[in-house]
Amino acid sequence: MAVVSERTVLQFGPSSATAKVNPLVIFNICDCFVRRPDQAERVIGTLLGSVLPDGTVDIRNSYVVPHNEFSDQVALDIEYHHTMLKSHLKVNPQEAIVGWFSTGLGVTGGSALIHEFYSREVSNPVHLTVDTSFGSGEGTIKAYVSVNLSLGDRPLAAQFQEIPVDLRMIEAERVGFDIIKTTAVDKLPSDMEGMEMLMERLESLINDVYKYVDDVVEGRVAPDNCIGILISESVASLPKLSPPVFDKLINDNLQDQLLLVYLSSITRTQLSLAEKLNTAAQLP
Amino acid sequence: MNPKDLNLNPGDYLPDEEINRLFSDFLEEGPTSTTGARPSSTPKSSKKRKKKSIVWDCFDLLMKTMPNGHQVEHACKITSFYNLNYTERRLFSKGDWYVANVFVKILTVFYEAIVELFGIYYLTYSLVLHKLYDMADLLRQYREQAWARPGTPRNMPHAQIGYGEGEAELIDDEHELISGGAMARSFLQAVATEEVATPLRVVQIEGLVILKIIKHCKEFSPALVTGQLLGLDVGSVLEVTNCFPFPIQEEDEEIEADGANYQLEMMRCLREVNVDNNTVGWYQSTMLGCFQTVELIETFMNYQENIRRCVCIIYDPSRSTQGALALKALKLSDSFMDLYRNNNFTGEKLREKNLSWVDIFEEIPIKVSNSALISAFMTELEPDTPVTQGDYDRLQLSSNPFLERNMEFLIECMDDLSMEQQKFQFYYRSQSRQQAQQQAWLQKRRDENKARKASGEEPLPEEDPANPIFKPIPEPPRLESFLITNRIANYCNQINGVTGQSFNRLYLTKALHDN
Repeated sequence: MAVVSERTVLQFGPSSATAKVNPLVIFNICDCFVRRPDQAERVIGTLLGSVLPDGTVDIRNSYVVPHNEFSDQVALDIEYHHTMLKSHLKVNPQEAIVGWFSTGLGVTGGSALIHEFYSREVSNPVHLTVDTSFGSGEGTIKAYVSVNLSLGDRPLAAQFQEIPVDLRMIEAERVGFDIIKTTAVDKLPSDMEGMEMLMERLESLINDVYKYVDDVVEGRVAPDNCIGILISESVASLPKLSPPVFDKLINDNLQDQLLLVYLSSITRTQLSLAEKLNTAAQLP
Repeated sequence: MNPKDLNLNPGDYLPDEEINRLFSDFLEEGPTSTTGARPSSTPKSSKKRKKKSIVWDCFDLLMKTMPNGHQVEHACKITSFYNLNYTERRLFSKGDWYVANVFVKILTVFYEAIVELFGIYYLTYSLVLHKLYDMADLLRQYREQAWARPGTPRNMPHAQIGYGEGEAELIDDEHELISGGAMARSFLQAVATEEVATPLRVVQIEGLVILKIIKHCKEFSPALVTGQLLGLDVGSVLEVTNCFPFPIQEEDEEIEADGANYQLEMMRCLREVNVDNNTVGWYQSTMLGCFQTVELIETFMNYQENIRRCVCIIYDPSRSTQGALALKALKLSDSFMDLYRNNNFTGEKLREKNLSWVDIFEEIPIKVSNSALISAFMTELEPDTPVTQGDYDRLQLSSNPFLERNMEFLIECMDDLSMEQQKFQFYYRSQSRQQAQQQAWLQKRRDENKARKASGEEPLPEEDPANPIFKPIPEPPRLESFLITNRIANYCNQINGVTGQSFNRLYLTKALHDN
């Protein structure tokens, strides 16, 4: 037992911080899964993006790679993978391989093989799994990095270590969840409709706050200091302006806008007039 | 040729030499030879065939789906697909599939010959299923006509042909269809009448496509980028189910060829993973909506040549800072395309067609669809939040930079427009000057003629085409001014929309302050 030294302890490699996932990637994976070949159980593919300075893996794009899976063998269409990569790099050279994805829950036997392949493409690839079967009752999205377990100098196995996933939904929010969430939307909201919706939502929010404050004042609800601080902060965030200054500000702005509206209406009138004259203009 | 000589059993296919024989009969006897689809003909007719390439493309795909001995592989699946989707019309029978197989076999020869000779391999139209269905429909029509003909020896209703004993008769039909002149004509007529397109009403976009377009346009903003849309053309709805970006173009011939390669490669790759491999148009980003250009029209006409229905999706990344989803689907109106194709963009024609600048572009309403899977995921991942990023963007008080830029562009456009107007004024002025000159000349000539008549000489003709004052002055093109007008209208609309929103915001701030 004298040989036992500190080096025989199982060693873990360093793990990268988090994986940021663009919603587009999820959309693409779902789409591929829906369009997968008849016999295929799952789809796998390449993740593109970049590694940020703080170690966060930013996954911005993805494409599916055809593969075949037998009992314990996985055949990946490497040629396809390379042509697709070349095409993607042509469009956006900043997006390099950062890892690979597969549908299904967690890591399966074949995963290690594919992971090894991607390790040759990029150091420390990320493995993203998207559970499209909703087997556990919810759509689980997980990211893993591989950690080599070694006993002494001998590599023993590769362990998939889960890392936190950060779903960046800002892009999707910009589009509007109302559009993305449902299976069919008949019409895109126009500027004014969007504004109207926003106003309604804002009003209901303010009403909620009012109700809460009233309830607290009348003792129906136990006061929460955190909410109180937030409310006072938001009230305090209004800039303090003297009424004349504020009125001037608003009125100036209003005047500008009115002028613009006037101008654009007059231009439009002018245009329809000009058009009539242009087409009607005929030599005597 | 007697088809009975072929000695076919059910499940057999025509031997190659027979196919070739049938094929040559078809070319030499039928009136179909006018389509010029003979592979060994002189290259002179190659131009004609290039136009027909649409027809051959689907066979490429069709053949790819038949790896084992030219049997349409997923026949059962396709039949049930149609049973589900086209309930109002008659469905496929086994006999139809048999005929389809024979057809495909023949057309394979055509296709291969053409690919071999002219190297046309460009895939534009791949609605194999729809084509197959059309084929079945035509065959049905043909059969109905065959019954209607008096004295037809066939008394067996072909619509109920089974795979078994009806085989020989089917081949009979098939052969007559190919070699008999009258029948071939009816088939061709049916083909011709079938090409009536229903108008495009809605563009249905997948959420995936919207996100892809936004990502691409935003990442490269303020550079303008383009990409290709893939999807399906189903009746009056154009479904956009996928897209891919184009690399930023550079003015270099080599790179241009590279771009075409890229496009083919990408489409091939996407087809391999079962993405709809059918171009339905393109998307492009724009700055503040100045997209109405001659280039856009030219690109559109190019696309329109190759695909029956095409659409251009415009996305404006600069407006998304206002919280709006500035996505638009456009197409050129049919009447405009007619005029543009014939190059009659003159004032007279425009008056005749009653076409004004409003009628150049047609905006098509956009519908968004998502697969149930995506919908489930989004609901799962994103609980209902009362306020989203889009709402914050909408509440941004400072709309001034945006408006300022809009005004700048508007002023530029105004300048352009006044230039165009000056051209017209110049044209009208010179035209009236010319007319005055013509009148004067005519007057002079008449006086002269009177004098000659008095002295008994032959009068001179009253027209002199050689005279430069009779040369018509070319009318300045109107397209440019139309487009500028369109742009101006667009800016005005944007200004109105944005100011409308900022009124809201201003009153909101005011109300907040008063409280």
